[in-house]
Amino acid sequence: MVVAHEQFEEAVPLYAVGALDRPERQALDVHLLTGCAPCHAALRQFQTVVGLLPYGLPAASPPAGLKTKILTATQEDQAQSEAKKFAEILVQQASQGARLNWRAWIGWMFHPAIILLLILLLAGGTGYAVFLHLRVDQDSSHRQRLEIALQEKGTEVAALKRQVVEQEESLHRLRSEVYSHVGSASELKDTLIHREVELDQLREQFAQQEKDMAALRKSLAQRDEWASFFRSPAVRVVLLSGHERARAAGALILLDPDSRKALLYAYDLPPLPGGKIYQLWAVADRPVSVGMFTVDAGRKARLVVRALPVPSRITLFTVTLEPEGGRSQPTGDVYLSGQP
Amino acid sequence: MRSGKATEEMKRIPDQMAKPDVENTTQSESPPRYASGPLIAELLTRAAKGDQSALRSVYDQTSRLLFALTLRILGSREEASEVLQEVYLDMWRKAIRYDPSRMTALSWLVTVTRNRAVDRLRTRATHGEGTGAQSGDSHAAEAAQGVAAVESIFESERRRAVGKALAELPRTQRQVLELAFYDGLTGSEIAAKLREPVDAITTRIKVGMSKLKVTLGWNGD
Repeated sequence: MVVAHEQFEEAVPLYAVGALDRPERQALDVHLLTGCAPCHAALRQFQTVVGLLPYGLPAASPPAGLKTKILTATQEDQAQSEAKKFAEILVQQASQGARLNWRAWIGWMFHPAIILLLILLLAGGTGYAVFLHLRVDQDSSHRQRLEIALQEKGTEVAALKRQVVEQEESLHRLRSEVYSHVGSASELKDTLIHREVELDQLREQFAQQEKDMAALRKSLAQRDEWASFFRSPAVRVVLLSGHERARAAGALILLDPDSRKALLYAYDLPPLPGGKIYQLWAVADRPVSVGMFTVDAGRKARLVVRALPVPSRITLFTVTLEPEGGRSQPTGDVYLSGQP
Repeated sequence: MRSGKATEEMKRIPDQMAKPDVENTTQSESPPRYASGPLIAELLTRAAKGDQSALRSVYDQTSRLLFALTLRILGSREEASEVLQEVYLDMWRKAIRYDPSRMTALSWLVTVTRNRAVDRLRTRATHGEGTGAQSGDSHAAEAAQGVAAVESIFESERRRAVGKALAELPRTQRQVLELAFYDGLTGSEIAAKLREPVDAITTRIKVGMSKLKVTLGWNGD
């Protein structure tokens, strides 16, 4: 899979500011080598921006002697260069001069005074010429060997260059594959994260559903319980009437001696004063508290009693006003009472 | 040795690697208002041909900017001067050569100088020396010295425009750009330093660079 051009173009600003890691930088290098015009254009723009960045720095002058140091070094370079050129010219001129002198020597050779000297020198000169010829041959052969070696090296370098190009192409392909795999891995990771989030949400929903189910079960159980209570043929009704403190008030108690459950429904009871509460008593041998209750805004009250003490022996139900928290024996005024 | 260093440096200048097909370029090639003009480019070319007066002019026009850059990166006047000297001498000795068809002259000079200074910084870090980065107060002292020199109108205008463009960037974007450009850190190194995800850092750099590009004069691409 090939890395998309857009990915390279996106990396251009990072490349320009020097923020790419080596592998990414090399990948973009290879891409730029393909001559991608949009990437080159973008790079030129971002490099110009980068070139302007130092203008955001506080101004600072370089040391006073730096300019002189640099210019002196360049002058020395130039002087060395000129000296080299001058030396080359001298060598050239000397060579030309030698050729001119040789012509003059040819003229002198016809002078009778030096003919003898020439003859004497001829023998030695011939030997030296042979020596030089052999030396030139040796040099020439050495040079040929060097040239051959140079050509071989050139061929090796070309082969190496080809290998480098091939390696770069291979690297590019590998990098593309790595990018592709990294992309796939990244997608898988995202999917996994997404699934985990969904799973968490499902877990939460499941927990909530279980809570709801438990609440429903409880509610259903209560409904069943009370349905059973109301269907029971043993249920009796006890009416309670209001006393002096609450003449208009009244109440009824549904009582099931078998299950020992009871339900109180009271109405028109006076609102409770602060720190007080109504307490229901079942009187057999003595008053036993069976529950406490308050009244609502409509001056109505309900109380569920799950375990009446010995229902068959109860002779009286009574409601008194007691301090908050209730009492073990009635202490306040009686508001309601009735016999089963 | 210098040529090896120069070769490495050339590799790090992307525009010098492959010439774009300019005729097929679809994006706007108009330079921003504050990009360098052709004068420095011409001087660089002449200096590379051995024209000393051209080198002197290049130095006069660019040395303060490049010195501020090397000083910001290295935090030492001595080292900043050494790097600056290397850059100008390599330019003169043709160890580095400017190609006007591929980058503005100013971008080239800034890029070459920044890379040299960051190389020096990384070498120093490898050798376990202190960073020696200057505080803001030290920069202010440098500024006080430097401002004594005469600034050209164009340079002042550039400073104002670039300063404004940088000031308009959110602090987090400016911070990552500075860490990349001046401290020589890559995106992943910045992420490690700031303990943030790499993606967040690279996005911040891209957005910051794009904003600077638009603010400094490129509106259409």
